[in-house]
Amino acid sequence: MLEGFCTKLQRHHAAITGAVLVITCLIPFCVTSTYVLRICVVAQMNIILVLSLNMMTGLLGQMSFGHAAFFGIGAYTAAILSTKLNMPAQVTFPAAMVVAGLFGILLGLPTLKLKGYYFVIVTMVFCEIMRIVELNWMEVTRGPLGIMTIPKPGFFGLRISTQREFYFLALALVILTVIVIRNIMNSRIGYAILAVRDDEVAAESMGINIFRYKILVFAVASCFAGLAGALYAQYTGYIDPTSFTNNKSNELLVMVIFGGLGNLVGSFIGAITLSVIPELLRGLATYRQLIYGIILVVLMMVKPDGLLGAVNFKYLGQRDKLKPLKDGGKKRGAIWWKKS
Amino acid sequence: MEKILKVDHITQKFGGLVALEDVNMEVDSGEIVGVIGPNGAGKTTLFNCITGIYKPTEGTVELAGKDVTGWKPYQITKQGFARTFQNIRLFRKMTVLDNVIAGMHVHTKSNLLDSIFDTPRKRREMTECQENAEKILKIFDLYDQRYEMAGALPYGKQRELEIVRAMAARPKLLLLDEPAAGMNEQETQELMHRVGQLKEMGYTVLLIEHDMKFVMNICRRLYVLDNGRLIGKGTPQEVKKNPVVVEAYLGKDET
Ligand SMILES: Nc1ncnc2c1ncn2[C@@H]1O[C@H](COP(=O)(O)OP(=O)(O)OP(=O)(O)O)[C@@H](O)[C@H]1O
Ligand SMILES: [Mg+2]
Repeated sequence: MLEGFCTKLQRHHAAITGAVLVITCLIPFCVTSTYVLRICVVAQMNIILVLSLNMMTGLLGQMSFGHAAFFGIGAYTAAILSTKLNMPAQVTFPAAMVVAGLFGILLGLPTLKLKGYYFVIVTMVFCEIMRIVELNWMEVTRGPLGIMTIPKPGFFGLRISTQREFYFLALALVILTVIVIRNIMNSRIGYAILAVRDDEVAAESMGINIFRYKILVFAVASCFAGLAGALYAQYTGYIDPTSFTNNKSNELLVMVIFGGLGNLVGSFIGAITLSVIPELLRGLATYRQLIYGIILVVLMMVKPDGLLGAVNFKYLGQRDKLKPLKDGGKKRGAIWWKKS
Repeated sequence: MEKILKVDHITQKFGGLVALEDVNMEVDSGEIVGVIGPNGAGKTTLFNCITGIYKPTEGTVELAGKDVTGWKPYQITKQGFARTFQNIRLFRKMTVLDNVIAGMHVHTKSNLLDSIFDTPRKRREMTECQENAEKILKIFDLYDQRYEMAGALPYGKQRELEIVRAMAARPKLLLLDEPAAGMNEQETQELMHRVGQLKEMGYTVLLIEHDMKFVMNICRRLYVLDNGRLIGKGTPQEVKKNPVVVEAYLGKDET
């Protein structure tokens, strides 16, 4: 049933993507509530984080419990550059990406060769270490006090300051993330990444340098986490180490798994749903966590792969295109035309 | 004739266990050569030494005159070996077509920037890959299943797909580890026909096989391994008559 539905989605994916994009662009003009727009921006930031984490865990198949560490590294990089050196956003944002990416490479080089769960544990520990560094390196991070009055970002003189402007900045960054990840996955590199996920021994025997691709994906995923960090820092104007703990890492991983490992559309659904639900439940105060928990448990019982974990839109589309031949030439999409 | 493979005095030890001892072999360009031997003789270990999964304790492996001993598997594949596995190892969650495209990795060149910016060069390369992959899939009658998940194929087809994937790397030497294992009579026949086709297409093949009929029909020369040692070699007829071989292997197997 889900597969049939997703096939239909895929068949009209251009139209649907267009419609979603238009609606997304209209939201900040229809909604004026600062509160709602704030949730939207946070959700978009989470989308960037979840997409990049999904590339690592779902597409490459390498679990990481430390994604928030790179989020934090990006946030601190942007915060420090913009407060201490007055750097504009066209510097702070790329710098946050580069620094987070470099940390990804530095952590990956010695650890991505490790088999099995070692890497998973290393990522978890790394996240904790980063938190402790952020907490204690007073001169740079101001420790538990955090960095305050981080300036709003300005790109080449273009100031981003209202909620609506931030909304579109975040949207642009989400689109950038999607395009980069999608283009990578559609190339030989993407095929190699999926091959590594499915069978490392076979991948290496087909001439794929596993280690290199693991480092590459880790670096790219960390870059985008860093980008989300820069957005976070310069959007909220205040950061402290409590935002980049293992808790945040776990929350992101839950979003990835909720949407489905390896499915980018799922990552959108996971990030949006799980960013919005806690807000909707805010009125229920103490029951909030409980209900959130129940929703997750039920989903995992009904769909252990997450919502779209078993769905591959590309393959559904390819199979769908074959069908007309089997139907004796009856053209797909004919029904679609008649309806409209 | 150009020498594609030269295995020189290979020894492979696992702790106290000597899996291969002083094995020598050669494969010339265009040949189909078989490796036979009873269970645990060291056949798969020999393949693993050749393809870099194990580093031989002693001895060297040469590929077309180049010493590749101790290289990493992916480097060795780049140099010109490609293999299949005794226990099928496909990319199970990728389609048949994508498995083959992934197999072309060593012949594609676009880098990270090409990929991110979706350059014409990258797009051209991907189209070429797809066309070539479809071409080989047609030869192996896998074209109609090209959009099916590799893991969902029937067993015999999975074995064939693994061969196709290895062919996609356009190797100088194709190593097949028991390609007919687990196949029924008819599938084996079909496979034999296909391996014959490989020869016509100019591939050089080294294959491990248990099925005696299979190797006798298809291989020009055979190497016989037993307990890690080479106990015989030659044409199928010569091997059949070799008393040591008959005792170690054929005798037990054919009665
Ligand atoms: N990684 C390893 N570590 C320890 N021992 C190994 C290893 N690989 C193979 N062996 C041993 O080496 C010997 C040869 O094994 P190998 O798999 O090469 O046999 P084979 O000829 O392929 O047998 P089969 O016909 O059953 O496939 C066996 O005794 C096996 O247990
Ligand atoms: Mg074997």
